[in-house]
Amino acid sequence: MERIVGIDLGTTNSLVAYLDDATPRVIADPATARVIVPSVVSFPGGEPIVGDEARALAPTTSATTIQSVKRFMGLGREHLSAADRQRYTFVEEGRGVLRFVVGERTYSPPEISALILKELKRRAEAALGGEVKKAVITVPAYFNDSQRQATKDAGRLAGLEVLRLVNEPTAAALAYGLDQKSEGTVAVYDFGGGTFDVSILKMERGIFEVKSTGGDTRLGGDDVDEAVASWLLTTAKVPAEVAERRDVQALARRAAEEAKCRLSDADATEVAMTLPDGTRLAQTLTRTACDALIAPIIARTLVPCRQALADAGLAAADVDAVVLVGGSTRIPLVRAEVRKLFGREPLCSIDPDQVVALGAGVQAGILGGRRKDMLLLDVVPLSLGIETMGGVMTRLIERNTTIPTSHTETFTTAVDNQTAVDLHVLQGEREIAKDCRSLARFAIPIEPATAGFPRVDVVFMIDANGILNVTARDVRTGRERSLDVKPSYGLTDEEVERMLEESIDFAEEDVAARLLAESRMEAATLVRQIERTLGESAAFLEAGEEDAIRAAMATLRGAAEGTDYTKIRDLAQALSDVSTPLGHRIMEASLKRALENKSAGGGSWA
Amino acid sequence: MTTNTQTALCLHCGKPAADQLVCSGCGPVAPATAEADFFAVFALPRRLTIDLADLERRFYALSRELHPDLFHDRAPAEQAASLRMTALVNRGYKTLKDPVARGLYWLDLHGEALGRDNERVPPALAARVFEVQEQLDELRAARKQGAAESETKAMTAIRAELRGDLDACDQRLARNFEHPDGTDALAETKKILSELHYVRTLLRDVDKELGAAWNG
Repeated sequence: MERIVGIDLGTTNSLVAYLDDATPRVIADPATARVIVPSVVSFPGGEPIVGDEARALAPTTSATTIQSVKRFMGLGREHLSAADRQRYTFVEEGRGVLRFVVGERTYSPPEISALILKELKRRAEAALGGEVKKAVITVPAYFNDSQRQATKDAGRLAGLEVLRLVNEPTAAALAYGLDQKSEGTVAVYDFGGGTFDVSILKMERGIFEVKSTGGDTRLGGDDVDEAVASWLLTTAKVPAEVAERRDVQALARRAAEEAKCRLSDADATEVAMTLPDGTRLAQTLTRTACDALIAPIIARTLVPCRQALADAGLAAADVDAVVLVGGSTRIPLVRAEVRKLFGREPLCSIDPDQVVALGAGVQAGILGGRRKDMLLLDVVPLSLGIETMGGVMTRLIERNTTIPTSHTETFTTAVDNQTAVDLHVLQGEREIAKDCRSLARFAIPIEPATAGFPRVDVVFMIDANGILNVTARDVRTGRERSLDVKPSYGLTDEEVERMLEESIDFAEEDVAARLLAESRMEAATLVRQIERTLGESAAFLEAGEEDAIRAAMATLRGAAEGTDYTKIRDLAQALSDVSTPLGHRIMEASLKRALENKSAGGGSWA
Repeated sequence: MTTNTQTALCLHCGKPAADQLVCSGCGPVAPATAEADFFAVFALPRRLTIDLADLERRFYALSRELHPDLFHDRAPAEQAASLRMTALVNRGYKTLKDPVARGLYWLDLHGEALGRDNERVPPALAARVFEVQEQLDELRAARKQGAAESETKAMTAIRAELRGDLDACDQRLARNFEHPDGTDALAETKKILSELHYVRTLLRDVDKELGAAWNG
């Protein structure tokens, strides 16, 4: 059986897990027995080092070490804060893709994340034996389309097929649901290193239905560290020109982070560091004083909580359980505020650092067919729309809509012989287009005709990963129109391909040989899938259909013996096309069966 | 359970489709609102009153059959069909479970749409909208000055009133749903939905403003 792993690609730490029989387990490095890989990549001599070693180097090599790369996934230059610019040097290439400058080279955030994913992949392969090629990766529920796409790109660059992106709070609920067999309404409060999420779910007989989600993708334990670090530098009267130096900031953040952890148990602690010139700084910080420093940060997490409750149409009292996820929920003030908001003691029986990875492992098991009793129904966190007349955002899909979902919009022309309609796709809750996140721009090609006569249906489909796909079809001719979608922030497919080709792993390998191997593998998978369909669903075949499918299969098999990978890909597409009507018929039957099978839901239908 | 006996024409190829979800000629119909019969998707009679617990059971049962997570290792055509059908089921569930969305969809099915010949907002409602907007302006102005205690209190009272209006509208809508046929009932549904729309928008603006107050 193919192995699918679940990965928590965190801001601070990353973990990999898998479903062992019915129990999810995190995978430890066989060499060190450690389960956590710090999400830190350092390039001390130009070559990347990932994890604990990179983290140890961070305070002294701030110029060649990237931490918290997740905060930069899917962003453009205009989204950077002053603190970001102070911390790293960036260049911006092409449309909006950020790159970190590290010595002589530059890296995009997905490339850095891919290095972390490769380390997790290596670890999983060492522990489990055999190659790992498929993964479920978790993302903050509040990640927008660009951030999700960047995560998927990172997976591809690491040599992983990302079968599914799962929202972190949902993954946590999955781990708890499996653990406690609980039912009812659950709020997941997920405060990690760099992101905050809250999700409200209904759990019933193995269905995990997300009712609403909210959050802030730029709010986390990092902000707590910054607050304490800047307190330390100010209180110790470090001159501004010294305090602003990157190496000093990195040292202060490390001191702050350590003090923060101690204050989870102690009432007071010493925040201490040594400046590069040897001066030692030490200040006593009480928990009360620390609470006052970080209270505004914690208060910011409560806004999305109230919004999520309102969106779910629930009051705090309707929530049956509150689950804490993420290392930052160890802060006593966080627990106190959550307790106050929901009026109940939050649950944290599963290690908050591991629960997301465990849930990702469960979802990997579900996709691998090992848990047929469980199903996740997640939502899109942000509304999706297009820019219309006067720079207004017109919403097509509302936030908190269950995914997958689609919206069809019909477009026509305003002037005679117009050959295209330009579209600008947006995501966000603001009413003015420029206040929303720009996702992509594209032109719908239209055949010249009298104004208002052409009609093109554009389908905006958000898949189960929360990622948008756009297709267009001419209503009169029924022809699909291909769209050249330009992502506003992020890599195009071609760029990811190019990076793959340039990456170290493939450097010595012949690109053509790799493409051939890939196309052969894809062809073999497709043939296997269709053989299975033919075997299981013979009853749905129409006269002559099986012969046509088998003929296409034989042609493909023949081509796969040869070395022309373009031909193999084309014939695979042809086989896929010829089997499409059969697929639709099978699904139609599934739908009817679901409707007729009145006991499927366990209750009796009226 | 009633069967829908209407013959639907496929949106894309124009040929009659066997049922409203799938066209054997060109694949599943990807319909705009009025073309997909959400009642048929859930095998429910075409009635405006819906048992929500029953609807949810049907939604879960359909999800367990059709969700893309169950098809990632199947042939591409099955994956694509699963994606499109799940999207349709999800859209149908969202539409039918919310009384307002259901009402609007109902108007759509009957060839009536909100926004057509309803430019005339009832005077009382218009007055209410202006009044609340004015109070919101006052609250914002007072906040800039630093002291907005009495304005916040007044706005909290308005919020409670609006909530009451919303509940009243919902109840009227539910009563009207019991007798949905006939032109009068349709016109009444339209009127209530239009009112609901205004009240919801106001409440959203008020919530936004008060939310800002809670969080300093």
